[in-house]
Amino acid sequence: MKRKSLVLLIVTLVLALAAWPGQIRAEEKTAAFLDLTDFTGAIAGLAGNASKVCEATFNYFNEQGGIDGVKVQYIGVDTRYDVARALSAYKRYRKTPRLLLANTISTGLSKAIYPLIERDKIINYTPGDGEFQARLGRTFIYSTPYQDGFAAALDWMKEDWQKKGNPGAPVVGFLSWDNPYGREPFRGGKEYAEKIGINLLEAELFPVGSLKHDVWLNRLAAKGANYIYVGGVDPTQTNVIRDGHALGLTQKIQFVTDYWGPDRAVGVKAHPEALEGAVVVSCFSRGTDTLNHPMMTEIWKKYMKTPVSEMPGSASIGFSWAMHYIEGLRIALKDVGYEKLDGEAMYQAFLKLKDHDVTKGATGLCDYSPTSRRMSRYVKFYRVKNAEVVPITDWRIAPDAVSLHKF
Amino acid sequence: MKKYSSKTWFLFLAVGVMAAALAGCAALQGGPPPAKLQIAPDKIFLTPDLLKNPPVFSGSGFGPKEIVVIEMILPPGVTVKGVPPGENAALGNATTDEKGDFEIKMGAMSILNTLFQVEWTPLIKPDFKQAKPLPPGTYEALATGMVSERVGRTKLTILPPPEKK
Repeated sequence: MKRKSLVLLIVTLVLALAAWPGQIRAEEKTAAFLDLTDFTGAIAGLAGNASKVCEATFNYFNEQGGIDGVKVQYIGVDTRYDVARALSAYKRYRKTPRLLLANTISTGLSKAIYPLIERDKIINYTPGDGEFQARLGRTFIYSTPYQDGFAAALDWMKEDWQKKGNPGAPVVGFLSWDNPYGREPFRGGKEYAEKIGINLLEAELFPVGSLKHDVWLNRLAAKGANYIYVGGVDPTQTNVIRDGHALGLTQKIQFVTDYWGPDRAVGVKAHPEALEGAVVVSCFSRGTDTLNHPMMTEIWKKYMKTPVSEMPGSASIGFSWAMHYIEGLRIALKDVGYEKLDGEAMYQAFLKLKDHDVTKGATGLCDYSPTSRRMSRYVKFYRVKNAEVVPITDWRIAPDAVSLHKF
Repeated sequence: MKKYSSKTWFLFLAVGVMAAALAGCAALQGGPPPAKLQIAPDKIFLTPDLLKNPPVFSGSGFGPKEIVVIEMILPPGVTVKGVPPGENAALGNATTDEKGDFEIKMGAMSILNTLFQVEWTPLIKPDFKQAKPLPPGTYEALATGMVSERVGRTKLTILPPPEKK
């Protein structure tokens, strides 16, 4: 009887071990991407859509076997644009195995979380504050810094002004949200305007959520603005230009917006007539460029289940987040292998991305290096034409306005 | 009365001396004071006045210059938009001073997104018409030091809406 029981026990143990594939056989190799994004809050239209494309891009690569056999574990958190929620989520997920990067979608969050990023020796993305370029650390700007983009727009305005047969330089107005993001282009952009002889009017800043913008627009028009640069997150820029159109200002003033300006799926869809002729400077592909990007459209068709014609401008932002992570992961795996893969390896890998064509045209060449935290130095200009966003320039290098400011 | 032998008395004495010595050692080592969290006021009505006069979180006993996250434990059946079931809902965050103390006002985003659970319009304005405020009740709140992992606890009561006269 005892012998029978012993045999039964051994057989049971052998069967149990054989039926435990996850632990006994090779575990799936993964690396984590923590996306502290906004799916339902104030900027969900921009960040949430970008995050969905980011996750879809990882799924696309995972289904093909991952990055050199390593699959990306995407962790998307709905922070509702609240720093406290983002920090709470970071506390929850910071010990995820091989967490290499946290995407922090606001400048305020990027600054608040930085001591933890530093302590945990991982890296984070931040939108566009030039301070992260001025003070090099483990935070990587996922765009061209705002002041560099503004400086590129000033160059374009001067060029456009002179092309139209006007002498000298134009008078430029600036209209944006009254918050650190809204003011950021001036930190270096103002100095750049002085450098190239542009008369940059005092910034007009308005509260987030303003319904009408006539007061600020009339003030800039009265001061003789030939061009007005508009910041915010679409539909803010669309609504500013809509008000400018209603006041008859779009006839005599050229409106130019920053990266988060009129989106083909948001503002352009709502107010195509008012936006006709408006110009967007962007470090991400927009409009028809995005619709013609082979990999992005393939991903969109496969995972978004809506027609490609509905792809928003923010698609290229999410695509860029994923592709830079993937390219960094590829280098890190080559340098240290999977067993030693950690945030420090990813940090070192990101410093080697300079001049890589990471996104195959969805952004300009990458600029991350030991001396640069800029995703790219390149921007492109687009114009709203017949209810679509079309390119009017090729990628062009943006001036270094960050270095002109004392942070 | 029961009589104890001298051996038993000696054993009691030895245990007492050891306990006192251990307590003394702990005091001498200057172990960290317990982390504390206070909310003022700790009883609130969910009215728009909260945005003008937000609750103040204060705490002590954390590490110096440490990030502290203040959260609310959600009882079964209470959900907060964007917070997965079983997780805590964030109320605020602070960085302590050199002594490990902090004091902050609850931020507008946390008031809107967590206490009122508003929706957002395309113009980036909170939509109170679609808000789903947290139900009245007493909630446990905790502040956690992100480095020291020290935790301070307190209660926050959401009062039923005042009766309209």
